[in-house]
Amino acid sequence: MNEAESHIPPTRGSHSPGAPSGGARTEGARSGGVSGRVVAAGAEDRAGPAVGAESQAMPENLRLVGGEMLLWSDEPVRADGRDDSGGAVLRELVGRAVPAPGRVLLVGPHPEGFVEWLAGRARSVAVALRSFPDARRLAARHAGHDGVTVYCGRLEKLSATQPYDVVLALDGFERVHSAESPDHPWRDTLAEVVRLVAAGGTLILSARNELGVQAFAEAKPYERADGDWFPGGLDQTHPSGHEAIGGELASHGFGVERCYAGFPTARAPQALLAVEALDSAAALPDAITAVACARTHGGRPLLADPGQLARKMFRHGLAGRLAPVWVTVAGRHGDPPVAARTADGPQVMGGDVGGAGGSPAAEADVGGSPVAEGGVRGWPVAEGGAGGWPVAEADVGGWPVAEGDGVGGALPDALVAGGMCAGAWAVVHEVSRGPAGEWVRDVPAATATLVRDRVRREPRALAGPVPRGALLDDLLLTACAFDDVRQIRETLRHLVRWLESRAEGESLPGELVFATTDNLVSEGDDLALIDPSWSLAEPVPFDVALTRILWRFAVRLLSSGQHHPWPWTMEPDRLAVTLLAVCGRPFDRECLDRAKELEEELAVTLGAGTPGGGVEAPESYREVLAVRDRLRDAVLAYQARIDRLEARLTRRERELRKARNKLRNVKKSASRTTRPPRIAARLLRLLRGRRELRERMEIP
Amino acid sequence: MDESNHWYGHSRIFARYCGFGAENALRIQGFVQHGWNYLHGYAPNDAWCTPGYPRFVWSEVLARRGWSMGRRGHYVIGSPWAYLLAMEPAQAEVPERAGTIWYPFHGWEKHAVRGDHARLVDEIRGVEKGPVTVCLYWLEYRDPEIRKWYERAGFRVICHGDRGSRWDGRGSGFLSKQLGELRRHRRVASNRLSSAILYGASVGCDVAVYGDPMTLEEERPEYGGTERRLRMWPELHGTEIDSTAAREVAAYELGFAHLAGPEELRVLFGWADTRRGRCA
Repeated sequence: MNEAESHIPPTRGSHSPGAPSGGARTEGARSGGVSGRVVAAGAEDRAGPAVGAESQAMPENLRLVGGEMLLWSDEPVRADGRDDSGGAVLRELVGRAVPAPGRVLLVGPHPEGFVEWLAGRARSVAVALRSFPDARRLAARHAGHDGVTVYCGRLEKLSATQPYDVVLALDGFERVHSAESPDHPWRDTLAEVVRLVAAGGTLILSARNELGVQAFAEAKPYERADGDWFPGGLDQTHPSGHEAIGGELASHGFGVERCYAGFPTARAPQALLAVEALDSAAALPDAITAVACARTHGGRPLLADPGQLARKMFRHGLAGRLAPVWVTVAGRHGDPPVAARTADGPQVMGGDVGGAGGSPAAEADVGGSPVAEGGVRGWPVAEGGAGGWPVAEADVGGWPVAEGDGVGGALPDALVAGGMCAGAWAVVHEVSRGPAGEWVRDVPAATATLVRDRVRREPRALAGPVPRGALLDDLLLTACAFDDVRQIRETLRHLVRWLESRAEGESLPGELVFATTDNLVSEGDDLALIDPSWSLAEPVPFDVALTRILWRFAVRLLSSGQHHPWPWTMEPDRLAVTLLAVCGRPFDRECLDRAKELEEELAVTLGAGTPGGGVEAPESYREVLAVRDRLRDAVLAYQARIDRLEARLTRRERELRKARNKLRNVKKSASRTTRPPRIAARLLRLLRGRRELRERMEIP
Repeated sequence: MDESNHWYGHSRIFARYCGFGAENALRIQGFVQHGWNYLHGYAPNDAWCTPGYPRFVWSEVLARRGWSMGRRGHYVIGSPWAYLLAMEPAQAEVPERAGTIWYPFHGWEKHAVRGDHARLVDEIRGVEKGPVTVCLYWLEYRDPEIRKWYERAGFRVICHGDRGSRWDGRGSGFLSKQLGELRRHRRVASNRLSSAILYGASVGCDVAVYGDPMTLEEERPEYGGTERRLRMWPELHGTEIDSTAAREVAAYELGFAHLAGPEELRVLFGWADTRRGRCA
């Protein structure tokens, strides 16, 4: 190590920044862990660095309360502004629980679109963040808005503010405390948060389940990332179930109004199912749980298929216990705050229009006209400037919450969004028990139709009873596992017949293009679409549509890593051809290409992670073992090199020390003996001695 | 390992604590934080702290901040000052404490401090009632221009010396000298919250932080500036400060609760096989 060059020391008692201007400025994470949340100071400089920001460009609505994290960000900025964090379904819940919020506090990071949406309907919104760059960005975004205040720093320093009518902690408590704070167990954090709720106010709280279904699928051991300055998963006070959350809240004088289990992931729930509904004996139909069982491995190595695990979880009645996250709506006992729970129509509607943060933009004047082309990153541009969302045709979007049909106060049994699509296409709908015990989907009459390119979604088609019966995908996968080719053949031929009976000549109508095996249930002798809201503008040639349906299933089957009766080397194309043959249909190369093109087009339009990209096989255990062996060899080699360098360094230092001692001794003796006359005298004496010797020995 | 481990006699303090004798400056296998810091214990540009060797920091909050900034391998051992105090506890017969020792904010070899010393002198005079000792950093002490401002005001001007290095003993008595001075004074003051203030608070000095905080050339933004210090330690700024609060902060920041035993340090620093009295 060339210390002279690389080491630039700061000052004594270095309270002063001592670093050169030309030095490396990026402080990126250097561990192998999940990081990248550290904000490089250099990057920040452009937007006004931490120090500079305090003297320049500090938004007026930003309050630094102390302990803020200058170089940290909790929210990766998404260039396309998309909100895939399950915002729609949580937004719906908040809208139902507090139709007209007064003063609202958001604890921890929330999607920016969510803050915007809330700012449109609440009297005032305060946001408590630990990250300074996030806080400044959010504050700047709402700079002109009187009602939005951003507090940045340690949560406990907020206690001086007046309590709020509504407090939302929808991100949980994991990202609430700054690195400046000592460790805060969950229970202590809750105590801090409930102090901020006014008497009669509402708290909506997310709590992750440490033993959620995802924990069973996860193959990688917990890895501490930059965000875990305290190790995770060791908090004894973290609630172990929804009852525990209720108990904790009760001890603070709160009553739980409803607790929901969120699926399929804690970070982006697409379905919120009331825990009572899950605990009751009547099982939820597959058509609902399919959303909760979405396969989400996000590229992480897995021990087991999370979809299969989730399905088992529902079958065993454990969904309420093993949900990845619980979202609890609780009220603080006492007089209700003035503004809360009173319908306030215009304010609510005002909040929804132009919903740039994820709700489909509602445009009164768009009518049925096609949407303007040229969207950013493949997303259509709404004329209201809510860039990036499919445009609604009808007048209003979302729920007419305030237009009192009694919906406002009652919290639903289940809220479901998503399915095969990404955020913007999501239609949040309520699912409840009908009088005869059947499950019924309810979509408000005013919900807008969504259109983009050739795809159209008519959410009103969702309304009505939820089809019962088993998912066609599951039936086929099971048959594959049993090598039951006869069952596979019957099921597939049944599907083909069902489609043929609905075909118009040689083509399949646009709404049946979406009759894929993951969107169909088998009800006795009939098949039923789970989500009949989708359609394509034009009919598709029958063979192309069928080939696409089978190709999708082939990808699904291969991605599951599950056993099937065909050779293991088969890739999706060949498997699709085989499945076509099983159905007794001829194969046409061009047909397969067109089917894949259609799949690609739909995947892009829906913005969903459909299997358009091919098989996403989870990383296998075998592969991991091989990597481990390679790494072990590499580590041994590096260790050997380090040992050698250490040994050499030690030896050199010893030599150096010796040399220095020698030098010092030489210097000392030299300084004692270097007086010129003495040297001369010694020389003379020496010469004389030699002469005498020579004379005595008679040497010539 | 690294030169900064030996500054201000830190490695010698540790050597003495571990029973090697204070004349030895042993190589520490790791990077000892060498000054109080409210970033992560090191300079923002700390690429010289090779990963794989521990970062010996003074307090746990630094480890957390460092972790959040992608640094790993922290080991909280407390400050060398804490070890010095452990070896040199206060004497039973305490000399009469008098006056104030004042540490103006200092620059370093590469960046000088910009500020008005004349105004600072006026401010000190306005606040301090008793005799004043001004302790300058060796760079500023060497500069007669700067010294004269304080000397003319009638202050006693001292310097704790060079920070030293492994190969010359000049810095070896730095902290001992500082300790001696601090124990003689009733108050310690500075224009910025700094190591010296915390050292003083930890040995019973009253504390004051006031006056123009001055600016350092090309001050790095990562620290967050004076405003951040004010937000973090509002209780430690002013001419009269609650000394109990100051002592508590000092104990925390200097890591008194994290002192490791000599055996542990010997293993941590790679000295377990070193013969006493010999250098590795």
